[in-house]
Amino acid sequence: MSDLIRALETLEETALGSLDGASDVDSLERWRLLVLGRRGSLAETLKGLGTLTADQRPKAGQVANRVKASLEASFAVRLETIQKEVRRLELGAERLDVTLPASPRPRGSLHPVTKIRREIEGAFARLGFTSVEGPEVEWDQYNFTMLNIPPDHPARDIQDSFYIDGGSGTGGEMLLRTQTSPVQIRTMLAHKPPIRIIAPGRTYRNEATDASHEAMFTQVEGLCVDRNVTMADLRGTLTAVTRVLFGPDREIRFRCGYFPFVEPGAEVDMTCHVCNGRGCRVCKRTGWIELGGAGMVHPKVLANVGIDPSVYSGWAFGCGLERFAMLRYGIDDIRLFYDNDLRFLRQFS
Amino acid sequence: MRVSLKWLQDYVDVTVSAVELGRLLTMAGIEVDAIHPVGVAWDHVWTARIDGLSRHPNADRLQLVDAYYGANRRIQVVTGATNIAVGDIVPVGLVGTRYRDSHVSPPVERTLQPTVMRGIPSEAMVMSGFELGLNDDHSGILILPTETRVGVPLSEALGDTVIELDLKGRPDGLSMIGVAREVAALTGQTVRFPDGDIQPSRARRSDEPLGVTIDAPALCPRFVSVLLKDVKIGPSPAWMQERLQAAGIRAINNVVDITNFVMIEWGQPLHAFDYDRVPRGHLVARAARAGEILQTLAAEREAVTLNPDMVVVAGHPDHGGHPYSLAGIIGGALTEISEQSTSILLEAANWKQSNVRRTARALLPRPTDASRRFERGVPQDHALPAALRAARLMVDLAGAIMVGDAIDAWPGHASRDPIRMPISECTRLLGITYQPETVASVFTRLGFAFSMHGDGPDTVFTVEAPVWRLDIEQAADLVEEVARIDGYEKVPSTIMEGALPQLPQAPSIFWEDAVRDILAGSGHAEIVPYTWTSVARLGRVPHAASSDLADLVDARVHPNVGPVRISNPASGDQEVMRTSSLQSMLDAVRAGLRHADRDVHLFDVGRIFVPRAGDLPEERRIVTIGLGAHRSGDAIGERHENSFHDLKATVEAILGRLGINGHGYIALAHPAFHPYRTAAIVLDHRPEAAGRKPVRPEDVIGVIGEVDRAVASGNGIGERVLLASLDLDRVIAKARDVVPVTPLPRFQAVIEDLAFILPDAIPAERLTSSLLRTGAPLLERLDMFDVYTGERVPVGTRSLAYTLTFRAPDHTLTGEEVTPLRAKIIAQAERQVGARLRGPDA
Ligand SMILES: [Zn+2]
Repeated sequence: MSDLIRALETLEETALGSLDGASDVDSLERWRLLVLGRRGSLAETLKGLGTLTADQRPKAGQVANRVKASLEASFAVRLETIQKEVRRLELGAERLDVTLPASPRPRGSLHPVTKIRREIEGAFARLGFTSVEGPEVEWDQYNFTMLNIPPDHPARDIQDSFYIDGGSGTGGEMLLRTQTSPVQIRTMLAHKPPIRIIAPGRTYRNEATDASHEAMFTQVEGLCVDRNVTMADLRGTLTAVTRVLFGPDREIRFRCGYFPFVEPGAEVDMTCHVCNGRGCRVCKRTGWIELGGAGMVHPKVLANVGIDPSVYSGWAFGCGLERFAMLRYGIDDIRLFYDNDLRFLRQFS
Repeated sequence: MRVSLKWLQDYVDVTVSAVELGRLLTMAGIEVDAIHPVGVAWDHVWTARIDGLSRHPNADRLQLVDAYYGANRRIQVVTGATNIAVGDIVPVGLVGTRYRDSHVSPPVERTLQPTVMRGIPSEAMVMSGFELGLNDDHSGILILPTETRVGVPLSEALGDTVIELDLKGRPDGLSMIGVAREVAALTGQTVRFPDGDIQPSRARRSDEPLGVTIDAPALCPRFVSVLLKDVKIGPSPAWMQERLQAAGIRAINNVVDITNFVMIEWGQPLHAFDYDRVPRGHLVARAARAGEILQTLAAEREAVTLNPDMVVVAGHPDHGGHPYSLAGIIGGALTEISEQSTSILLEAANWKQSNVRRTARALLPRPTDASRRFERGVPQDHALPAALRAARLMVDLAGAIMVGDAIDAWPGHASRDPIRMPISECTRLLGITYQPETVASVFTRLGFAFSMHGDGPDTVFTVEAPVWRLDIEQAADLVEEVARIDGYEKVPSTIMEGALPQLPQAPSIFWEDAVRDILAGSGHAEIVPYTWTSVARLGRVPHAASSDLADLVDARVHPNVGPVRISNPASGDQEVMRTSSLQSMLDAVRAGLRHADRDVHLFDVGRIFVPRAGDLPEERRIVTIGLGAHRSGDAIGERHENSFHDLKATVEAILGRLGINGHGYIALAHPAFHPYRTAAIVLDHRPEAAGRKPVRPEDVIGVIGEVDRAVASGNGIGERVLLASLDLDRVIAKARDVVPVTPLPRFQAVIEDLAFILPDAIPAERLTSSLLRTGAPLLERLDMFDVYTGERVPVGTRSLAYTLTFRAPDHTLTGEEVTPLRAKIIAQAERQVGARLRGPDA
């Protein structure tokens, strides 16, 4: 009997020894067949059990079971080790260089004027302002006369216009609007107060182009008409909006300013968002940045559209969207907006 | 206006620095464009006397100047100037002098270096006003007043500070007295008015007639005329020349200088006629006659032809009634003052703003000093004081005597009503509640006469309209005065308290932005082309010639109409408004291809302008997409061709976002596009009716296709380009933002694949349509999954394979239901469009 037990123990030792040599799934499978298979060495050895006496069998059986379990457990451990190694090698073959460039996929972009318009619309929407549009080819009457700029008024010099050939009709001559203020007129003619609108849109002026002037540009104007609307409300509104666009520290300053369609009128400055008012290149060392013109809607303009100026008051402001975009995105030449150079446009993706 | 501080101090004490004064004026609404310290750059410039002049030995056109500049210093200067004489006092710049060189355009600043001019060394220069940066006169050397001290730095003799004011809304700011009033109000000083005290030296004799007739009182509300005799024409005194120079006006002689001086002082333009050339001393303000010709004194000296809308000052009708001057604008040659003149007829009149403006713009290349003032408004009240002030100066400075009283014809005299301003109006408009004393003090500082009634918040001010402030007409104007003098910075920050308005957002803006998002999100860059263009450019994309469908496409996105024309374009590229955004897109694609060989994917959401008779043009919203030939592939370095169907996917994305369905694509022949790779995009499209039912014009919404090769190259593009253009307004009219959700299916579907052989000539959509119609309602979906052309199908045909999804809403379908339906679908496909089921081995 001790021969058999010894044989089992020898088998275990030899088999475990050769198990370490099985380095891949195939050799491991061969080992399994050789050792644990139906005709494997363990099975062969266990045939000797039949030669034992009944009282010897339990003892030998115990040893046989232990050896079998030991071999199977070692096999399982070895199998898992090898499988892990195989998987590691497989994945290793799939190694990527994560620093290679991303797949080439063109990114679209919105025009900077679209982007800034939406930002401004969003800021005003919070205060209940609706965006309104109007025609770019306008009647003189809406662009000038009803805005308290009668024909032969010197203020027309500031806004030299492009006129339309043979274009005259109910509203006088046709021209390319020089401001989006005619949208204010059209809105006030069509709606009774309370009114809160902004009017973004293309405008045109017959002037020489340079880094800060384009003959075609985009304006946004705002208008608020109701009882008891004040210049303080104008300042509060512009403060709120510039804080959305240019940061929470912005302050708004009014200087007296002349625009024929407002009275009192104001030039609007904002504390410089680059230097916080200390003075830098962007604000030309003044600490202030000019945003545009504003004021209380002129009583004559309100009367022109049939709103009683002794009951209602309103404020209006206007500024160039390109100018806003230039400040916001650090663009130094207005002509870039209409060059449509992809290298510029794609920077807004 | 250029305001010399030296001059300003004649009327008001300037108690703050120039910079602070500039800030105060700017905050108060008179914007300061620039502050020029006159003289700081004149480090090496001295006043010098010319002691000798001689011809340059080697150059006829050069002179040698012997300049003496004090303390036994003299220097020889070579100059090309001819306006100098021995005894003149001139500025001499020594080596190191900075000067403006006008020989190049634009002028540059240079520093004087020692040089040799035609063999003569030159280490200094005699200088013009332009070179000194003093004015724009580079016609000759600046001759300094004779009493100027010789041998002092020029800055000592001429130094000053000039503030340039931008006076958009303040006509009174075009005068020294107006600016002085403003400065006084802002700094708490008082104004000193100039001396205009004068009595006639003697009465007029019978041989010294004088008269004024106003034929056009609506255009000439006031006319003051003064007769001055024994005038001795000569140079005006240095102080006056200096002041005029600082204001940018050239000194000419005492008479002209005095009229200019008083114009700037009072803001009232004056004109001096040669009395001896005015029959009976009689001046008539009348409308010009048609075709009348006036020889003006404008620099160009051109004769102008007048019309009855214009106003002239003319002679007595009994003496021909010749026009003497263009009223309020410029004098004429007929009565011009000459060196020999001894008697002067002085005009100080008032002219209608709009008329002066219109006439000046019609006749002269630029406004004159007089017309600039009249078109902004000159107070009628200033005519007499200005005339008397000028007379006084003529007496003092030109040895004149005033003969008889001034004639003052004032048909337009009208008193302006006082303005009522309740103090509550400040609260209502500004959101500031002022103390009545604050408001009263502002009016006092401004010199406005007023009275107060009531008290506290009920105080009402009654303010006399100040004659010198034509811009003040109503309470709102006074509110602005209070705010700006008390300080605009006191306006607080609040937010409107009223109810929110119920103005709906225009859907067009919403949809425009939705389309922009889709296009930007799918890799397209938004461009914004100019909306104006040239006829030649528009012509680079041809229009349809004959086909009905192509005509309809053109009418929608590329109308063949005479464009809206700009009558005063600044350049040929701005002559018309665009009628199509196809050409501007091609321009942008071409520009994009200069820097990239792929991914030139652009879009434009903008307007085209379609003329309408007697009305503003229609401004139609168009979205145009442009693609270069290639896009990036999935892997680095890969490049794929952009196809028609790639672009179609983008168009589908847009239409899908707008909730459009039932639209389709009809093959289109259009001269701007590839004959076999182009389609019209139409709404309410029924493939089964194709060819039988005419397309309705209103259903055509756009075009998609590959640009014709010749058209592309005509626009500078040497590769395939794809364009799609949609009438967004038309699509928006049909758009739906909220599409009701279809419930998810509750029962199993039966899914089958079928492949058909279809002749190439039959559009695929006709088979699709046949299958869908026959399969309805159980055929829930139809998805094409393969298109095959090749040796395994007969020549001239292709195989189209579909996945068919059958489903009933209320039970699970059985084979018995689907089998006959499948057979019917196959049979109908054959009958309706000639499609054969593709066998397993076909
Ligand atoms: Zn700054």
